[in-house]
Amino acid sequence: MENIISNLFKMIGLPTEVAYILAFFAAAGLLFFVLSLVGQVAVVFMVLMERKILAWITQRKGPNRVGPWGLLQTVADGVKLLFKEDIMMPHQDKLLFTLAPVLFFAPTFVIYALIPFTDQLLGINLGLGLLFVFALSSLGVVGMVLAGWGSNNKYSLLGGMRSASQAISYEIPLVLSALAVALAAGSLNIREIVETQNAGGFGLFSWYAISLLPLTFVIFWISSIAEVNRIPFDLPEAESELVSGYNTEYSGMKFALFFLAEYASLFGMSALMAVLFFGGYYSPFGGLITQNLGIDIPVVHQLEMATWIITKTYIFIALAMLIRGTLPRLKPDQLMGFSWKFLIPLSLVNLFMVAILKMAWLQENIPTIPLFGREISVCYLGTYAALFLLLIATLAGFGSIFKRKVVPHIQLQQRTV
Amino acid sequence: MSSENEIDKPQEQQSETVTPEPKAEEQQPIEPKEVKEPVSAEAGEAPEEAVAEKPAKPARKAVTPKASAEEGAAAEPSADGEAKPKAKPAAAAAKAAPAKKEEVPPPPPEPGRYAQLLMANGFKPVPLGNDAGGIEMIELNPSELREACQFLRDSDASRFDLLVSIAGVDWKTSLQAVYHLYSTATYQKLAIKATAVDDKLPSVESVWITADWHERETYDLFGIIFEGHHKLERILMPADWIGHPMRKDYKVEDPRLVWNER
Amino acid sequence: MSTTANFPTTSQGVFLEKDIDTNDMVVNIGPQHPSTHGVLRLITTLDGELVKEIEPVIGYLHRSKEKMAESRSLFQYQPTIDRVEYLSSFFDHYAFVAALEKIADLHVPKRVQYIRMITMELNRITSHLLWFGTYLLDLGATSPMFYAFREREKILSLFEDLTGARMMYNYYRFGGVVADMPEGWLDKVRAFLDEAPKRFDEYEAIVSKNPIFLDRTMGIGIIQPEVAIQYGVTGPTLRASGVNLDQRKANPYCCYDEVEFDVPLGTKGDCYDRFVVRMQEMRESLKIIRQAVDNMPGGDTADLNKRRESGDETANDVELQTYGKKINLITYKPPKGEAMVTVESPRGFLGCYMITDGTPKAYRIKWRGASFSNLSILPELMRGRLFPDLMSIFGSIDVILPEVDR
Repeated sequence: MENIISNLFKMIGLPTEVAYILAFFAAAGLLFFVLSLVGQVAVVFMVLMERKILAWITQRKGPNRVGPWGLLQTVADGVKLLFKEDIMMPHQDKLLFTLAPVLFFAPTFVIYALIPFTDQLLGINLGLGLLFVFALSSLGVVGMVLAGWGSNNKYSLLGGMRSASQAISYEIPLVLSALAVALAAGSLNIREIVETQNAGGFGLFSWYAISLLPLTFVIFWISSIAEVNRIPFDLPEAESELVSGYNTEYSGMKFALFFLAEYASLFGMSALMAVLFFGGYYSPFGGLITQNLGIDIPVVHQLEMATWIITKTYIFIALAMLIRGTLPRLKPDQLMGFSWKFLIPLSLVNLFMVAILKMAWLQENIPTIPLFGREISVCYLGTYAALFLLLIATLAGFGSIFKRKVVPHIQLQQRTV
Repeated sequence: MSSENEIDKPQEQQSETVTPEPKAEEQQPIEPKEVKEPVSAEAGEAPEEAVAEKPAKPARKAVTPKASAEEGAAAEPSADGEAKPKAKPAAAAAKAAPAKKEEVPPPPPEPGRYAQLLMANGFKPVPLGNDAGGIEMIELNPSELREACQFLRDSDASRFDLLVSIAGVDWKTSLQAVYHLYSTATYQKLAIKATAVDDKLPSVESVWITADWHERETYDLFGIIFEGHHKLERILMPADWIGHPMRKDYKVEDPRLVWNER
Repeated sequence: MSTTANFPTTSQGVFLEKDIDTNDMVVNIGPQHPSTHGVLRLITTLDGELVKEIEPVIGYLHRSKEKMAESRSLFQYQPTIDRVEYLSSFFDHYAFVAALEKIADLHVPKRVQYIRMITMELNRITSHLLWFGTYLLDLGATSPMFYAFREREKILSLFEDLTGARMMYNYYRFGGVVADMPEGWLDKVRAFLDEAPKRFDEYEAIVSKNPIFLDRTMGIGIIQPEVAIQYGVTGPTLRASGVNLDQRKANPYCCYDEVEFDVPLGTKGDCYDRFVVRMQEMRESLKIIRQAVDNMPGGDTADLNKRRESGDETANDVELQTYGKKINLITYKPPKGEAMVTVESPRGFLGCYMITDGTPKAYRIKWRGASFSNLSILPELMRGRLFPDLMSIFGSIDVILPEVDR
């Protein structure tokens, strides 16, 4: 793409170096524009989906006035926000106040460039793609903290501080569990992770969510919900305490940026989960259905891949929305305690177990037994069984932490007078 | 004084019918007779002394006849079960009293259970009979209000540990505070009235913590100054409000609110 | 910004330096805030997330209900008292009406008392349901509110059939009610009674075993019974601390001595106990309503009307009328007297102290709001707690601001 654009610039008559530099920025800008457009279309439907799901949970109808089935409701809301006054108070730090939504918005959309929606449809194929994704997702927190500070509002400040502490706490288990995936796949390239995951040909059973101890996925899932600040971890914008947290003072399009970016980051995290743990763009039956059926048209393959990953992503989004409709909010101390006392040790143990598993995979010259029509190493099976038992023990421990003895405190008093 | 025996009889009935209390009952037959005479004499005078600096008589008049009127109201069994236990002795008293002295129009209400208890312990309550709901009413001198309240809270015979409310009343000549007490142990109710001297009353905040806000409210709306309150500020009205709006002679004098006057 | 500019120097000229400025932060929560349930202002001193001091500032909703009584006749005043506590205004009306009934010694027919009892208990359920929804909303769970409102709407529809209004009923009259129940109303109440327990079970299933909910309520905001009584706390908040004080049992009014029900008591006095006590109270209210519906003197209005049409004289008994004694409300002058009536409202002692002086107006009407006293314990409970606990504690004592400010 850069070449095409630089040729265009050269045709205008610019010197080659300038043309390349300009082309680079133009290409980056174009890419970002396309990404955010795609992202915003996704977000528009996510917002509607969330409202519909919450309405369904609470026995309401949800938006159904603008467009068929309320499809254009979010568009209407967006247009309304565009025309809203952009209020900025004199006591606010103008630079930080304006910079914050941008810093929050931009990185979340750049993540889209790194997600392989098909094996071809991939913005940038970075060797260290996974690392870069986490770098970007933690940048968003800077935006929140700046918003909290720049607003010069006590609620916002508390929200910003909470978001910082929350991000620090939950990025560690997030990255540690992703590291387990990278360890198993032997690569940080996201497309390679997808390909390695599906190389076994077991379909569903070779996906890392299952083959690589479900615990890894559970840790990643919990941490990713915390990372995108959704209930029960939505402390930075806890509405019943902090009014609206870090974005209390924002209005108009700046607020819309925060709003969009939150959903975009939810989409990004869900897509990442689909890619890392659920086989990315492959079907759960091993390979692609169309391929297995013998249809050998590349476009059809691409379409099927895109369908699979989008479906998986939206399943995770829907799950996050279901959680939002169900759970109350945690307190900051419980949140920190849960991360530092439970999730981080657990993810370290998990990483260790995955390393053992990987070693078992790499062993050769070990007797194998036929299973599912393949030869499977005994060592692998043994290790896996042992680790599975360990996992059950861990989950039992997990349960015992959260299982409360709900003593019926209440006694019924009969007539006393 | 011949009527005193007449009155005493229903008194004893009452103390039997209502929840029995061993300690007070032993003291009652002996002590009240000694204390009662000075008190019944004081019944007319003590409040006048208390509000000597203000023209006190209208206030006094406003209180006493009402009390006797309520006697009658309480005498007939009301629809609710609340008044029933106390209504019968009161009815007996009401029938007995007018028969003896017809020429004296307002018979002084005989001391109820808690008035007797207070008398037996050296306080000088003025019994005001029962209100329409059968709640005993006592008038207390401001000077002994706090101690009497403390006693009523701590004494095993009363245990009024819950202050339900403090209601200010503006009798045009004087301000009065009505303390409604409740016992979470015996489920009994009591109303204590205290007429403010110079718009001042002692604070009972040290007896019941909840009196803090109730006294602030009464100060805010009536201007009764509760001496000894740790932070007597306005609570319902804005801090810069002028005047005490629940007084009968209150007029909006704040120039900022002049539009309100038409 | 120079950090040392404002610091004083000692006589030796040495700077007193602080590297990190750790001042307390004073956050002004309210008067407009999502979880202050109206217009309450809490001046909160925070040290990080820790609440050091909290001072409620009330009075933003003061509508001078007591002063209004001085300028209106009792009958004119009555419609306005719905607003004293708008979530359970039948209780306001009962306290007000009963106070005058005591002063004037008006006879209230049995049928009226039973209707009053049913409406009050239904009203208690609506109030507790609203509390349930908003409390969970305060804790961050959005869905339970909608479930609670679904049931509440059903009761409000019942009230609409009965009184013509969903919130501001103005249904009771001195010595009676404004009109008899519509025909078939009792059957509708029965239908609700059959359905409600399942719903309440559902609510408890959603909420009361949720580990996050338990974490946020268990052991939080413990009120010792002695402290509660000292602060004048009443109602379910007091009963959750284990004090057996329910006026319906202790000083039975209306016809509460004719129905059987239990008083749920907590043992620890924390937020969770208050939650369970309220949930249990709704079930006990259902019990009361069922008994009252079954034992309603005269039965359903349709039956009563049929009996009257067929010339049955017993159907015209005074106990089956809607008024004990018809009084001309426009010109009615109550006798001199005073009465204090406290009822057990969903929040505690709701009192009406009335002094009449023989004119159509009351000389003095004092409202004793349960929330007023209950709110005063908040600073005591919040000292040294975390900021998010403010919502779980404040929510659990169920304060309604119109009743605080009156």
